[in-house]
Amino acid sequence: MEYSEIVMAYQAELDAYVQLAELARRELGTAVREAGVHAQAITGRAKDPTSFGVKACLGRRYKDPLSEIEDKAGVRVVLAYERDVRAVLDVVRRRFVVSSVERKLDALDYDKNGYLGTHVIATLTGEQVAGSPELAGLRFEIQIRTIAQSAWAEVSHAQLYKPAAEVPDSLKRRIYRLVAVVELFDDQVEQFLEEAARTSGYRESVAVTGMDELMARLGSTRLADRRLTSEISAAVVPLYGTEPAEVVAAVADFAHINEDGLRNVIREAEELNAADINPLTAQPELPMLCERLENDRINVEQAWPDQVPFEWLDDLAEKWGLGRKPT
Amino acid sequence: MQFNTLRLDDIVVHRVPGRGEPGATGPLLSEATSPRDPRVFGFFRQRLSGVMARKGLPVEPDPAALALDATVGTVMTAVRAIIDDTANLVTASQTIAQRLWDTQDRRNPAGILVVARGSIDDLACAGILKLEHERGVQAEQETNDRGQLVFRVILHDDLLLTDRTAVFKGAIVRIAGPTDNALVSEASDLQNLRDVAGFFLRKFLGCKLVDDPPEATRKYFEAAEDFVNSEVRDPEKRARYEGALLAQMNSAVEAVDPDRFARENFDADEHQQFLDHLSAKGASTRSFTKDTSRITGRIRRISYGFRSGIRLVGQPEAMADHVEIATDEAVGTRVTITDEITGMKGAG
Repeated sequence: MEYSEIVMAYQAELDAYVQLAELARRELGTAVREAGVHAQAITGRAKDPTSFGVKACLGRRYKDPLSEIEDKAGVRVVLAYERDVRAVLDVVRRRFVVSSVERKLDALDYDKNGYLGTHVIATLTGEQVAGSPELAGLRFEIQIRTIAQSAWAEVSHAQLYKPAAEVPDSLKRRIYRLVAVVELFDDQVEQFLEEAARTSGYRESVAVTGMDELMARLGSTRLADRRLTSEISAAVVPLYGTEPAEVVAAVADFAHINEDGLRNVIREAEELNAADINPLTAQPELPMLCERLENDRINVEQAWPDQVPFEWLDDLAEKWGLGRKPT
Repeated sequence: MQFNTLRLDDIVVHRVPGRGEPGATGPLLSEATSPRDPRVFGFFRQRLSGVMARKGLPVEPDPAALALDATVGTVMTAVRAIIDDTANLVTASQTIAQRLWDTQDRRNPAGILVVARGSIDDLACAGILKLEHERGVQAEQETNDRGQLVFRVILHDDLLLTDRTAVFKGAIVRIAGPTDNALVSEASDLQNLRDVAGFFLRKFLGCKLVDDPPEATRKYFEAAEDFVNSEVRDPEKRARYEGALLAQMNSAVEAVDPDRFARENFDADEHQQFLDHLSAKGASTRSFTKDTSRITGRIRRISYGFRSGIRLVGQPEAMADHVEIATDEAVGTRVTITDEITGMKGAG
């Protein structure tokens, strides 16, 4: 097949791949969220016809490019941490029918540098294509990257492949040397996370920080104070007697049931000048504090950190419709 | 009512002087709603929901009082008008302020009356809040741009420090449900719990408590005793808690504050459990006037029953002074009576 034939043949299928990419992106976005993983970005796209045609013809590597090229639809997930790559890979395996997984680092010789990232080829499940049977069996690619890997991939792609003129090898080497920095960066971050997790209060604080999105959804636009989060979460999260991740889930359930009340308290705070608000109403731990006040008030009062004014908690109890502590 | 869902959409502020105030001949009435100031609205919402959460009790119109004096229905009629149409707020609130003036006597100090329309539990509601001697709140008379008299409310600079010992009387009335236009009411009075059944509730609101004090006390006592017997496993604690409950019932304190009682007598982990148990049994978790007339025979003496059939009965004070109960892993419950035997006799 010649270039124009290949492009026209692909264009005939393009709508299906556009639909496939969007459906796969939505499915993956939901699954990642449900797994409690925070993705920096999840994007989807169908391959551009020109790009597909060029890929098919360059080097004449494909006998049947329409069936052999597997990234006609693609989804890309960018994550902060290497550990999240593993978590998302697990999610992908559970959510889709996976035919291959390639961790690019594993394909490199130990003395070589190159693109890092994890690529998965998958198809949608029967249930997922129930409303769109034409998508059944169509393969798509999922690229899972850390932010650092993504940064390198974007820069290298722009500098090594896009310029019209060929870049000298000595310059290419500079870009490839940076891959080692990317690997080192992700390794160091992982080590940091492991050691930080053993630091008192850190895990609790991270759990509460994850409630930022909940607060934003409830209408909060104020910036939280991280020191306050650290103090409060270290004191209050242990009251649940469970893992911090389970606390987040319990608080999310509470927030769902009490959404009207939380929105009411937040809306009221949003209307006030910063000087007039109770600082707790701008904190991600607000729903958690309301939950504890409602279900375990005396223990949260007793655990309240000395560094944070008790009056703030008592005022919040009144705002939450529980009244102040008896005097 | 879920007080955290309370919203005040419009408020009217009136000043109700004391009867003894020189030159006072009636309430000073606003002629328009107050301008929307988030600080002021937020303050009133919080204080109204706060006082109701601690002291609010379900109330209902009192037909007997109404039969004797038709004017006792004035406030609830005005409240109904406010709930039915927000356009009625100003005139109906004036009626309410006038009624407050009419029912107060020289013992009632001057204060400001806030009448609001809003929502709670996503249902239309009216709120009434009377503030007396509030150090953090002032109401200044002024004229709005339409020439109407209004009171501008000025709050203390730091809302968190605004005097929390202020005296409030409050009430919230809402419709029963989205398709049920009947009214559901709660009223509170921090100044004097007995007064709920007096001036504010009966004369001013024209209502009575859904559970009168003897019934509220009976429900509370039975639920609390049930908690001690069914939820507390440790015999020593059970004895201690039962003793505390009987002491509470027999004390001279006129009010029962379940939250305070649990804080002062129960272990921290049982505080919320106790309040939840009260709720589940239909007893009040908020303060109410104590009246033990329906349980008199059940609170004079404390009785411990044992598996062996032995029963130990005595007055709570004597039990506290002479009986010690401890858990002994080897023998079960160890009861030690330190006293002098003054007599023995057979019993049937």
